[in-house]
Amino acid sequence: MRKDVHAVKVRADRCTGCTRCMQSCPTEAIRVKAGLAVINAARCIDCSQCIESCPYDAHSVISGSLDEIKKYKYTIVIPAITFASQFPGDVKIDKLCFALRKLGFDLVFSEGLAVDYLKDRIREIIVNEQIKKPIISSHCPAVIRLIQTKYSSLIGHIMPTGSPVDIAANMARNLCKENLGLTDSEIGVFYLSPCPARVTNVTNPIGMQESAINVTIPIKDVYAEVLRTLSGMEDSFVELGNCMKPENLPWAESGGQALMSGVDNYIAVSGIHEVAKVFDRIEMGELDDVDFIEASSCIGGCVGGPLNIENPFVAQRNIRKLAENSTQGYFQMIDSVLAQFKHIYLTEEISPRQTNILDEDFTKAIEKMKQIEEITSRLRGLDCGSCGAPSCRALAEDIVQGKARMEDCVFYKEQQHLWRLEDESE
Amino acid sequence: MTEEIVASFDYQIEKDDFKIAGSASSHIKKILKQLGLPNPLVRRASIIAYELEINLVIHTVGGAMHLEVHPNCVVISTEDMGPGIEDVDQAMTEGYSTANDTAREMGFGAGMGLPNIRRCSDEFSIRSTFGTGTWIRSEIHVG
Ligand SMILES: Nc1ncnc2c1ncn2[C@@H]1O[C@H](COP(=O)(O)OP(=O)(O)O)[C@@H](O)[C@H]1O
Ligand code: SF4
Ligand SMILES: [Mg+2]
Repeated sequence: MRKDVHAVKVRADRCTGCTRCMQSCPTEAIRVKAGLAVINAARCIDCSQCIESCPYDAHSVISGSLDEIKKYKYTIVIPAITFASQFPGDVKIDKLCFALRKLGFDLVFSEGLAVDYLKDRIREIIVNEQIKKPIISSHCPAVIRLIQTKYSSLIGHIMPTGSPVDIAANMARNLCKENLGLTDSEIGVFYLSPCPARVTNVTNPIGMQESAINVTIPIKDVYAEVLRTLSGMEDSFVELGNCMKPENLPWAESGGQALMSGVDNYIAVSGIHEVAKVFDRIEMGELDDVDFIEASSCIGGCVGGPLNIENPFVAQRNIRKLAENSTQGYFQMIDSVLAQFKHIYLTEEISPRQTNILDEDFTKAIEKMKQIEEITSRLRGLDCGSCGAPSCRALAEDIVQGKARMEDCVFYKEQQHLWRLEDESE
Repeated sequence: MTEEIVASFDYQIEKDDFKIAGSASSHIKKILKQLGLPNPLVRRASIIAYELEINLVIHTVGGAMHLEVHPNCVVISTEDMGPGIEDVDQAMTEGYSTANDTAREMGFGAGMGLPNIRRCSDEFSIRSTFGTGTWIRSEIHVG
């Protein structure tokens, strides 16, 4: 079995054990132990709430770097759809792609290209296929992991297509293998990512055996260098083979997928806690008459990803400006490549993660549940977090699962101390 | 014979408390998921708990809801302090509702609650004394 490894790690040198990330985590994956936040990999969904909530910048994202370019004979860079929106709306996309290639890549290939292909399929699937409504977009890996972790009854609602980046990576690989006679191991596919969820999805993919991407680099890590290259460039420098179509950029905004796919009866929800609330409603059967749920872990959609540079709402405005200004070059080979491209579906089953279940054995689970209630009733109910668990009930669960002790509760400990003093004075 | 293991939970439900209406049933849903019960069963139980909870909020002076998890069944029940139901058969009819305007404005009062509860239950019983109160019990079999 593949190891459940995630991109976000806590930096012991910066973490103060303040409990903010623990309180913000939608799956209660974080505990504070000995003054340090610890992430439980089996519960982590890579949603970045911990990163966003941390005042000390104490979370790092384990990702790749440009140095890895030299490991490959031929390198392709796939900028996330959000990439262009990080630059002022009057930037020329052709020029931007050229600057990007100057980082040392052989080919720029846009995620937006897969969008071109996918958007019509999405509408067709919604209209024609017998999938439980509402159909939930498969775009955001953090959302899929939330479903696996807390809403397993919704697995059957997930759109069966892969997300644009994975489709694009496969397209780019195929293109280079067929046209340049390269082998898979000679090609390095690099992805410029807006989020840790996509970094994790390369080493620990969902719905596919293996990712076609080799290296993920945070957008913010290359931003300054691209900007530098850009400022020193004449306007006449353009990337001829570029394929970042401005009209595909709204895909990175919440609601963009539905809009571009021509789906009218949809809900676009963003921000992982709001997504969870909508999922609760779907589970109750209240949204059966909705066709499509476009759920994004980040506020505002992928423009809100924590590895971007620009504020998500400014980025949205950049997208609008880019779309106005551009009549840009477009990859000529594409239509023929697309026509023969079939790998757009997820190939592996998405299975539930069993991390919320108290015990495999139902009777034992009931027994544990009884103990949890009994312990919870003895705790103060303040959910203060001093014990290192996000709520009194979470502490009770940890105690029953053998991961914490009653004495971790500061109030209980004090009470015990008082009892001891009383005993001694008697 | 060993004693049967039962986990039980009690919830107080206040009259007209629309703001937190649904919180008891979400707690129930969370518990049943943690116990590892199959999704369709959790869904049925959540619908039952939700409809019962809303009925206490909109039709009664307040009451209590209970969850009991036994190794072979899940039982959700409510009891309230009034006003009771005059004609239980009528109340069980699809579309019948006495919900007031405020409740209707909040989107309740389709008259489908009790029929849905019965449909989702393996065993269902209701007893009501007009002027006194109502007692409802719904059981779902496990396995
Ligand atoms: N606990 C209760 N106490 C008194 N009346 C009730 C109670 N539960 C249901 N009723 C009556 O039964 C009717 C039908 O209930 P239900 O099927 O849930 O529909 P709704 O709640 O939409 O009115 C209610 O309108 C109300 O008159
Ligand atoms: S919304 Fe987009 S940027 Fe945010 S986690 Fe999901 S895929 Fe990544
Ligand atoms: Mg009702």
